[in-house]
Amino acid sequence: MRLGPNEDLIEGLDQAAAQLGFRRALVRSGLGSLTDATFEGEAGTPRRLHGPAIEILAISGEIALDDDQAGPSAGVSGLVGDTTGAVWSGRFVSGQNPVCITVEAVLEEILAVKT
Amino acid sequence: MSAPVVATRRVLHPGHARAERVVTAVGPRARRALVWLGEGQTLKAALVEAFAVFGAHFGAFHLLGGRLCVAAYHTAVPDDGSARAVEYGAPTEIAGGATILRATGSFGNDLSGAPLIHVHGGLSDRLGCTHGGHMNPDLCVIGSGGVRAILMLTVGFAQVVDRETHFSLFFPVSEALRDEPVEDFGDHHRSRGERAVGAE
Repeated sequence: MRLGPNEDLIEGLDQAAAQLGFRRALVRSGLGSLTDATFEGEAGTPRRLHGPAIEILAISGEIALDDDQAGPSAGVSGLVGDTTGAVWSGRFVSGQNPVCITVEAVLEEILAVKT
Repeated sequence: MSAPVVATRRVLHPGHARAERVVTAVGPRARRALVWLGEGQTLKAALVEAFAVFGAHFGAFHLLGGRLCVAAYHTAVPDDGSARAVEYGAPTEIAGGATILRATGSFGNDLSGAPLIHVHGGLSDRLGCTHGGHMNPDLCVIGSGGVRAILMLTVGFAQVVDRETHFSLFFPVSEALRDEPVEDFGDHHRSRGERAVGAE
């Protein structure tokens, strides 16, 4: 899959899963760039890395479009590099990770989830 | 208590936005292969050879670990002199090479049909400091002991001129459908299992 500029990383992964008819999916790989990156922080305060461009080095996690049926998902976490090459990591906050140029990712459908 | 709402920034690109924002292709049966990439080869040469062993023209991959005796990467920043939103700078070479912490990549054809590697990774230098960015697969050379990689076959990417960003970018393509006729969709891309080819 490919996400275009200014799409949100997490919302875009959800949308791709929905387009493909996946209720649950693993994020097998992903790379690309973000305008800014926002990770979950302590006490609910997001941690923001300012770009552009923040390079996505690796992402992994779980897409769940059926939270009510199989429990919550692990979310999507990743490793990113800032404009100086320094590396940061964390769990991405939905709606706060806009794509800068492009994101390429591979999703794999999960057919059964044991609750 | 709900999470704080943080405004997000948008990047202005030089071209018109594509109609389709999320493009997908489907590989009906996922296949994977675990391989060693051999010492002394460039990262690009080793990966192209590894995919060729399995007859794959498109794919994705992870580098799980190993050593690069030459390690070089790029970062991107805004450039007032460019029409594009950001530009990649000259490569940063890590003195003494690097250990791969994790790297992720896409494999496919460039605009001429030749193999193309797009890879980003986190690297550790000889002092244990981390570096990360857009790895240069032509400059990176595999070090002693090789590099372990897992290849994802059957789905991958093909390069397309993107009028929105003015970069040539990878769009998804399914190995299962690669022999089907390629049509020119301009700035519109078909989704869901159909070959995503467009622009010039």
